Amino acid sequence: MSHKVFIERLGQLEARLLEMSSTVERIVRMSMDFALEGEGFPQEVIELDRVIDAEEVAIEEEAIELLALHQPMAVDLRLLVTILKINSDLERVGDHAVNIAKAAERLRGTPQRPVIPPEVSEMSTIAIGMLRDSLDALVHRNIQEAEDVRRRDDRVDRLHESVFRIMLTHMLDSNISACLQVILMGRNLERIADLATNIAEDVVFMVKGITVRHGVRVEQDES
Amino acid sequence: MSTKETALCRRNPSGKRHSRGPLQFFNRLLVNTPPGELDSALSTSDLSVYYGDTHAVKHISLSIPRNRVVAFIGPSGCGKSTLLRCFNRMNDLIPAARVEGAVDFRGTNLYAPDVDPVEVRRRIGMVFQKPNPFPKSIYDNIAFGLRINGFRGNLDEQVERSLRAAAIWDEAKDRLQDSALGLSGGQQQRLCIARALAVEPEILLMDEPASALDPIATSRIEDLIEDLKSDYTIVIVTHNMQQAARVSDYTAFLYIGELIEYGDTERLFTNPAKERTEQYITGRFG
Repeated sequence: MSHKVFIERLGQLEARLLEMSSTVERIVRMSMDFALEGEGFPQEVIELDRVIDAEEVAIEEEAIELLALHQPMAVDLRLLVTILKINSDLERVGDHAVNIAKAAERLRGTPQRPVIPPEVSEMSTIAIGMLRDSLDALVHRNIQEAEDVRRRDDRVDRLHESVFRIMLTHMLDSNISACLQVILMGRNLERIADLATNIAEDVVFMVKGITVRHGVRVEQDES
Repeated sequence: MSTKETALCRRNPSGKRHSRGPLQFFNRLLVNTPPGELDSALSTSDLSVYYGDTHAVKHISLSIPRNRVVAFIGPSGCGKSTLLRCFNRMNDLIPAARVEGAVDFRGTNLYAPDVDPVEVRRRIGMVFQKPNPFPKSIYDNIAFGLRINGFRGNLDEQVERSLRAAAIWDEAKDRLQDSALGLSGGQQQRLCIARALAVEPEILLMDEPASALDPIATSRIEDLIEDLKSDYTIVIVTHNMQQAARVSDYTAFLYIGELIEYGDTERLFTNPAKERTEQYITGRFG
């Protein structure tokens, strides 16, 4: 494979990942719309999740082929590794979207169901925004955008704790199983925000070659 | 002049190698230490090489850490082989070549007027791109250098030790008196490495040692480099960047005679500090 072909295929792979990310964002929105105000179960979420699963495998295979045939280095290597990691994270986000839709469906079939607190809606708005902005940071190769995504995760964590506490209180006078479904929604949204944070951290690695995961900033020496 | 300098300036008939510090245990721990901060086997300061009017190596100052593998990479004509040849004065053999600056080896400038280049080449051995065994038996290929260096120990033992060190003993032990030219290319190259090791150098220079070999023979040479690292300091010039990434602890990138970047191999190939290094190793020029 010539170098020119490699660069073309690497660009196509990144574009394919971004396309997958828009599908993932879409099913999170569909699941949350259903959870908050929808009528019928959005079967499309399940179908699109299968598409995302297949796409994840295809992107991984293409990335491995490029690694094996071209043995890229430096920024090309970092981009390929980042694509592999984001690919896996996006697939997980898709699974969480399905979990949210299923929890919402169970909630709807439960008597004495509690009102979904506004914190869940806020979590959803922030998590979807984080997901979108983390991918924008990749497109723009922008560390500031990535750092901004990382900062927003704290707010989602606090909202998640809040949802948990509210639902514990409701369990005293409401259906416990129904309250658990709301807690599960919060839990899945919190995980989506975590995965968006992972993506943002991978973008920092891709752009700067430094690791910022686990609250640790390991800068490689410049000597 | 110190004792070390005197030793370098005269032939050493015993062929006894200097002892080295027990750094092997710390190899992994120290791999990220900047090369200039490690015990140096050899260093250059403001080294320049000219071929007539052409300035082939430009004011390079670097330190080669002891018991490490250092790779020189860069596009054709960047001066990496020229720099390598300065380390054992092989450029002396090129009439138009002129060297300025210093190459320090054990406190002695190798280009000082009283330094014997033959002794330098015994202490700093070299393996070339194309295997070049003598048209003699396998045994004599190893014994030749020992004899002319006045080796007085057990010749058979030293031949066996050298062939074992170069990982070719098992293939050669039953045919020691056969012509070395009957060996395969990969075997010939390991024989040449054994020949270089026989006189017990401290540093081994390798100029594209696997470029003429098939992948299996290349892999054996790379494994050998890893094995030899505990006893020798190795400097390798290679066009194969994957090979440099696989075998070396430190990598120097040269471009048009200048040292652009020199540091930990892992970092250089994943996150180089200089834009030009990045462009080269990602294939965007060169």
